[in-house]
Amino acid sequence: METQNILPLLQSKTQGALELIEDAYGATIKVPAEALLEVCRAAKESPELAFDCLMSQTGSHVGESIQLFYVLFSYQHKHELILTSEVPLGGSIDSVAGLWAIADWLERETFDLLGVSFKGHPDLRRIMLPEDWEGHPLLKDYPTPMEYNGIDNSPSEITQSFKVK
Amino acid sequence: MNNLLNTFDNDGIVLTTLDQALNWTRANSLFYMLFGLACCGIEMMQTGGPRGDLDRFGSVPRASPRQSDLMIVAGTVTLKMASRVKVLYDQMPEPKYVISMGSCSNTGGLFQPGYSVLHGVDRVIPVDVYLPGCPPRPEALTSALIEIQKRIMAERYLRKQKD
Repeated sequence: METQNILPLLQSKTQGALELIEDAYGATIKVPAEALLEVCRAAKESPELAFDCLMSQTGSHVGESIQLFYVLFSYQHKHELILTSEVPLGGSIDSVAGLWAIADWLERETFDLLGVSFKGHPDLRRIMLPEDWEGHPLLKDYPTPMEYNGIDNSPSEITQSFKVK
Repeated sequence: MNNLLNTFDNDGIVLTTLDQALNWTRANSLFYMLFGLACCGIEMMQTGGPRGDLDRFGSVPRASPRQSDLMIVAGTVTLKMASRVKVLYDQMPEPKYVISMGSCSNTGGLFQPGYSVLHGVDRVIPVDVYLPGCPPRPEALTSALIEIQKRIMAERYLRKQKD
């Protein structure tokens, strides 16, 4: 089923206003943050959609907010759907780990790199960076650390000489 | 050993010959720690495999730092790994040697602009031989091992202990 046809099906299950976005990358459905869990549950549980697989959950820092992406796939119907949602910097959104078990780790990664906290996540810790790491590296205003736990990591003279002036 | 060292005041023929014998055994039984961090690790496995065949130098991989003489830092060292590399190095018994294998481990290499990559493993542990390449071929790693062997052969082990 195409994203254009999925939209009315999902809209009938939620109060939140869904929006169809079509750009060079294809069609996506934008979901308000508070309606996300509801929409995801509908996408997974309605038999005509049956999105049983969360292929990817990631995000990016755009302007003053963080855009989250949920790429869903249905093995039964062989169709794909991309949901997007927006949260403010350091904001929070409902976790979908209860629907797809893989969301547990994917959301930990998003938390680790972008600082989005997921409400209802069973174990929201950093997954790749050390526990004592400061900041979230995929934010656009993240400064590269020059020192970590007493290890000097400032660029050497030779490295600096390669920089384009 | 101490009796022997106290008997001779200067580096006579006995100590130098003994030194040579000791060095000969040490140089030809360099156990390296099996410790691959990135793609250089694959080349290290190739070197340990039948074509590179490090075994013919008496060099066999060990799974524990406590049994190793040589650490081959093969791959990108991240800041998270840096402290672990230090711990592993500290667990190795003296005398110990380190080969920094590949551009990443030498300087951070291709991944230097990354926020999580250490700019060279020599910021954490002392390095004996720097091996350039991305990744170095098995022949290059073999030559680095031979370089370490030369270093060991040139060492005056007994004399060092006396000082």
